[in-house]
Amino acid sequence: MTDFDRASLDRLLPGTSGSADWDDVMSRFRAGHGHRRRRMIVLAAVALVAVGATSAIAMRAFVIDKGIVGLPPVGATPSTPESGVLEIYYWLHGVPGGG
Amino acid sequence: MNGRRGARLDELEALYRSRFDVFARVAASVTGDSERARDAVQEAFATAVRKRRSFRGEGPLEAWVWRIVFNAAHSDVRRAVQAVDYDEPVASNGHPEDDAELRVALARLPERQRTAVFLRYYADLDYAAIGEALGISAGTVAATLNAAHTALRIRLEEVRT
Repeated sequence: MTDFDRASLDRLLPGTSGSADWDDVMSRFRAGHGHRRRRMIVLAAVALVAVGATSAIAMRAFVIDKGIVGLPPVGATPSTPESGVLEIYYWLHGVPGGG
Repeated sequence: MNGRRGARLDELEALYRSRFDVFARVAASVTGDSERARDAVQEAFATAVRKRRSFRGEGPLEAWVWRIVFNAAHSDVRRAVQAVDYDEPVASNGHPEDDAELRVALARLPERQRTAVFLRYYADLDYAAIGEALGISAGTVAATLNAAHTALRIRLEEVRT
């Protein structure tokens, strides 16, 4: 065994600065808890904005670029129906046009 | 070792109140500054309160908290980029010459050996608890302390001859 014991180590270690303060521990805990909560809220907001922006871009591509609303594709020519007959179909009791 | 999950708040508070000085003084051996050591202990216990449900009860609660304290102290050292200065004289209330020799001998130990010595002979932890605190096996603790004893004995004999 070497020449040290608890007493000699006690003399070598620096003294304690300040005293125990459990209230300080708990206030640090609450501060850290609040900080993490705020960070989660910010991350959730960023995720929401990202999802919203992605959806908006997708909708724009679908609605405008694919032609539901807006101009026909470049090079497309309008077609002319061969006759002006309007056909209307209806279903009744599972039989087309039946009763 | 009761295999339970989670630590109770009142247990942490009781540990803090009964062992604050020991935690703070051993942490000072890492930070090199008693004020920063106290800050590390305060932060470590706040972290322990926050993570208390993750305590698995595979070892003593104190060993689990020691590990958090060392993490906090090492984080503090990394932030401060300040090495522990054991050559700086501290007030001695016993045997100044012996203390100086031992201080120098301890300063030359690798950090793990030095910390193991403080945990065993100052904080009075057993090998299993030291292993839990340092993240090593009890067998490695025994080997670490054995190496520390050998190194300290050799250095103290060198100084005294």
